Amino acid sequence: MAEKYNLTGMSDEEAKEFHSIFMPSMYGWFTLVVGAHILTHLRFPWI
Amino acid sequence: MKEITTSMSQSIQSDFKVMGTGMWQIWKILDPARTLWTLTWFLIVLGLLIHILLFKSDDLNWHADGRPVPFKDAAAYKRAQAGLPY
Repeated sequence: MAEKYNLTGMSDEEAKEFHSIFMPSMYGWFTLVVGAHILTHLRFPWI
Repeated sequence: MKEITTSMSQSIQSDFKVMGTGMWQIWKILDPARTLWTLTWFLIVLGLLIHILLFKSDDLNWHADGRPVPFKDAAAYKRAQAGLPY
């Protein structure tokens, strides 16, 4: 789909560069959230 | 049957390969700045909503569940040993 449509006007290089920053940031956030839930569950188990 | 299974397996692997190598193209459809702002506000509102719901509940409100603060006694002892008045 994206190969046919370019709605944002980004070049392939720009899109790849943003993606290379976005994905580690997202995984970092997920790691933080999972860690917070593990610590919270150790202190206040809800299951 | 084995050929069909192998074909399906290859098709699935091919799909995942496409997903794995081409997801950066999403940024040609979604505007990055708008996506980041949307994510930011969505996560803030979601976090506040969950905290409000937990505080309004009876058994998941950690400020009023009667459970002691961890290491409270140890902290008080250390403060007393240090001569602090509080």
